[in-house]
Amino acid sequence: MKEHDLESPEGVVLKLRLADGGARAGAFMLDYTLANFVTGLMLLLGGAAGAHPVDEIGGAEGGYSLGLAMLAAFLVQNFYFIASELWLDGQTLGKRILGLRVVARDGSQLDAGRIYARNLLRDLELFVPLTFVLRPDLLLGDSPLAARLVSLVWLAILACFPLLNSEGARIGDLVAGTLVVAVPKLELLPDLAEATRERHSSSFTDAELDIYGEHELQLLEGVLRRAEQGAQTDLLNSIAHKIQRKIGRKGTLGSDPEQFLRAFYVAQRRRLEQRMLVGKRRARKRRR
Amino acid sequence: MSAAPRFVLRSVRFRHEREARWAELEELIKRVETQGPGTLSADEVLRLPVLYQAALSSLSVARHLSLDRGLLAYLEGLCTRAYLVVYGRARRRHGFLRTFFSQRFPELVFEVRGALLLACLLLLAGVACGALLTHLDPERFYGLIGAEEAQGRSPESSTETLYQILHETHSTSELSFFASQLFTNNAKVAMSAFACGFLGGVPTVLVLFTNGLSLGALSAVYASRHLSLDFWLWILPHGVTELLAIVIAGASGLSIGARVLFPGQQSRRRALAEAGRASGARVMGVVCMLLLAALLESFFRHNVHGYAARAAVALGSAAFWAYYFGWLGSRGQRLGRVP
Repeated sequence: MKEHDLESPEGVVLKLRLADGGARAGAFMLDYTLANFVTGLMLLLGGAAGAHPVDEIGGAEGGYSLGLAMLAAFLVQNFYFIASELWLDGQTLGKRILGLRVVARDGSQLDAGRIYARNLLRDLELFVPLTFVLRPDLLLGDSPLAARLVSLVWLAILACFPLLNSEGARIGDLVAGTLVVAVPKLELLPDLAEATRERHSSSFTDAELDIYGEHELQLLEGVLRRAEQGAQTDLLNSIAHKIQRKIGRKGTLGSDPEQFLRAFYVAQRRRLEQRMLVGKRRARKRRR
Repeated sequence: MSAAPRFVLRSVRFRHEREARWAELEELIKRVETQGPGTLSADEVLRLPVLYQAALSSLSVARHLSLDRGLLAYLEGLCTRAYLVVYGRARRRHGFLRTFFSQRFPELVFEVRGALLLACLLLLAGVACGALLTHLDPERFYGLIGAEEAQGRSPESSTETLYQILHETHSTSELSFFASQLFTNNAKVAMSAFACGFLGGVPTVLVLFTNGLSLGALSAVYASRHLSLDFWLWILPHGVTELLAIVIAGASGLSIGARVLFPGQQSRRRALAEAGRASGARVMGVVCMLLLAALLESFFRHNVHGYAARAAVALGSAAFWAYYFGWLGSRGQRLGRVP
């Protein structure tokens, strides 16, 4: 999951998780469908109110309502995104459902100019390439092959721009200086160290605890949390054996690998946290 | 053994000390996110920033004190969401529209007056070329202007037909449909002129020039029948507004292009973001101008046929925009608001 570092005004660096492409595409599909649904409804009503079929224009009284409907349709299709991102603080309905949000890259406030800019370019990134693919005659007419190829390459670059940069930003995001981030879920899990009884934890020596690093500790944490939800005795057994072999201790496993692992977890974490306080951090295990 | 609880690890004690405040902050955040900031009481509004700063400090400390991945993930999430609640509101000032139209829009346009001049020249060059080419060889008309735009006018149309088109009338309802069609079409042209600026301004140049070409071609056809005055008085009442709007959109596109090519001291990305933001706001104003032009083009043009009235509106609109962008636009500089 890609991250973006944002420095809050208080000087703390927050790590924002960038939304992944699938979620963004999904949110866009939802929004686009909604906007078009409303648009279609309006055109239908406009045509019906004018008592003319929608494709018969220039009639006597139908003009008003149809004209208004066209205008409303245009506004909705183009400004749905702009209006909702402005009103809902960087979210549209689709984004809200999928837990995404638009923020300014440097942490400043989103303002209208940014939101307009990022949405106006969607035409160029999405609809023009789409028209090119589905109905090239509309765009190119009788242009020679060379021109078509050039247009194809150019449009491909524009459309695939999110794949070409490290943050998955569209051109619209680039021009407006914004990013789409995933809104984090909040869930505070109980601390593993607390749930473990004191008595096992002092039975490891410092030398034994200096072998593994933070990465392994957090992997162990993940395994223990999963074990809380469902029995994983085989996995726990194999990990316990591996650790025992590595730290050079045999035979004190007892009948419960989970208790051993928890005791080891607490002791290892204490040791690593102590060393962290004095500035000695080990990210990964020592390779002998 | 003492009666006080013994914590296994220092990080566990740290968590116990602060957990209550985090829970309080979480509850406030969730309430603001789902129901809006209005649901907070006065005390809670005062408490929120305090809790937010406490959470940030907890995060900083936890990063150096604790290796509990669950805790760190939770604090990152809590601080991010609190940050978004406290700072993440999109800026919606009261009276935004009024400030935008009376101050911001003219100033933004005045800011790019160099690009504006260039865009204007490009358009005029297009008109001149179109007119000249069609004058020299009427057959070129078909190459310069599409059938849809020509709407039955061509070098082969009779003078009668051409004159009729300039003075025809329609019912009001037809006109309103016509107006919305024009507006949506023009708005799209303006937005594409803006969007193309991202590509270094080259497509924007082309868009301006080709629009000029079609206008020039048409004018040449009318000139050849000695209907020039009629033609220009037909175009200009709304044309001043419409062409100016397209020129401004083009200038916005060009300014983005210039920033992409010559970012100066800033990183390209930063320069682009700033230019994009200003241009986005400009194009919104342009769309409003085009709405006005569409109304003039449909209702005014087909109901008022007198030369004097048309000339008055053409000159009047030119004078108005000169005042609006020239005077109001430069006010920022004169008042020292803008460097």
